[in-house]
Amino acid sequence: MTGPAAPPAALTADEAQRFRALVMPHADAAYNLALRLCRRTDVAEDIVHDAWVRALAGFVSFRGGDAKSWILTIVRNRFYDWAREQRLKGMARLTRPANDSDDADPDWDVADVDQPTPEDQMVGKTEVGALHALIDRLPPRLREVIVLRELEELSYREIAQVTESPIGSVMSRLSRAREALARAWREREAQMAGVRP
Amino acid sequence: MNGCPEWADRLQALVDGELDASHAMEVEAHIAGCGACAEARTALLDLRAALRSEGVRAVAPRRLMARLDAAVHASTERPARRVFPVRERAAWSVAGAGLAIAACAVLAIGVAPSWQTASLERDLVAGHIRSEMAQHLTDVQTSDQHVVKPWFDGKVDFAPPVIDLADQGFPIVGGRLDYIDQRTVAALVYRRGRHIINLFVWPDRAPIGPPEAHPPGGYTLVHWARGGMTFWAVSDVNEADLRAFQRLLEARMPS
Repeated sequence: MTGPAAPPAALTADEAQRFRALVMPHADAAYNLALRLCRRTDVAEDIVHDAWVRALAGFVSFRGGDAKSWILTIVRNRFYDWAREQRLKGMARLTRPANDSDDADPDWDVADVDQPTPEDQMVGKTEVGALHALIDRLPPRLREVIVLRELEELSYREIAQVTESPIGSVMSRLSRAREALARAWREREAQMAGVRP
Repeated sequence: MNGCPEWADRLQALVDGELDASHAMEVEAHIAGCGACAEARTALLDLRAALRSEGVRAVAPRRLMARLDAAVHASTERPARRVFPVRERAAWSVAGAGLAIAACAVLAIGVAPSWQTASLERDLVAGHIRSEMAQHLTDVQTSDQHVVKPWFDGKVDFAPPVIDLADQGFPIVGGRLDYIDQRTVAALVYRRGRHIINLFVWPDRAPIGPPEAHPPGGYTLVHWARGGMTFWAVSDVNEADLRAFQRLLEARMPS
């Protein structure tokens, strides 16, 4: 029997066990970060899956350290790869005839800060939906630090590692993100108070 | 968050638990005498409470967890076949009988221990899930059965029957190699509407237990054996459709 279908870079049973113990518990964190970054559930699942495939391929060289930061770094990189691809597709699309069939391709539709996201329709309905909408409106660099700090509870040092930024930048982005969120949240509260006298 | 600008960084660091005890006390002392900074801290904590309320943090869907699990499974080295002597023995003990059965279609029942079947089915479902990801579906992509069949030549040491059922609503879309139960097998890919059916084929005369009542992830599995080959159809179509698929295939198989 020839072996072209044998999976490459196989982990030993022990390594696989270690992977399950160290990395699998962070699947929620990975999905949460991916979803807040790309803002589409289907894409977020693909990003996390891609990240897992890469993490598995590189797991042999992962020698300790914080597994959560490690996997989140991979997820974040996969997101920016995806976003870059979408941008390129978008550019390619602009150079094509206007009625090109690719217009029907939903993939080029990069998450755009100025476009309403599906969550926007939930504003005013549920608090959770409103919070998602508010986070999603932040630029990605601010979005990722707020997600990593407030939802994933990473330290400044870990956030700096995941986002490959100096700690000073992490702190200033965090502060700007909070400023923007707090302002938007106050406005919403005021609106809600106006609706319910 | 309109506290004193010169304290803003330290205030944030305090709220984030990033200050050592002596610096924390310093900031606390300032807040105690500064209403604006006290308010700024309350605003930070309120925002945190809102962000950490239930449901804000997304949870990985079950479907994704199954995919991740399959990914780990797929990149794990298979133990040597010798580790499972039970299966080998089972294969030999029925080899003679197998020759007799080979001529007719057989749906074998309840011979293999259930744990063996369960792990095989996990492999099959994982193979099916992998195939649903873009680019993994087919190695040879065509609706022409006469292209698919020779493609397997030299890649596997058996000739899987390649039958198109386009006229019955199950067009063949291609084939690929997959790795199931520690062996390379042929996977034929069919479509039913928007659904994908993976038909895994390999030579095996050993009867295998019937599919679990509830296979992993809500997929439907149909298994049969014929002419010394074992067939597993895996899909998310309903069982009636998958049974119909099986009957249509069997009707066209060379006897």
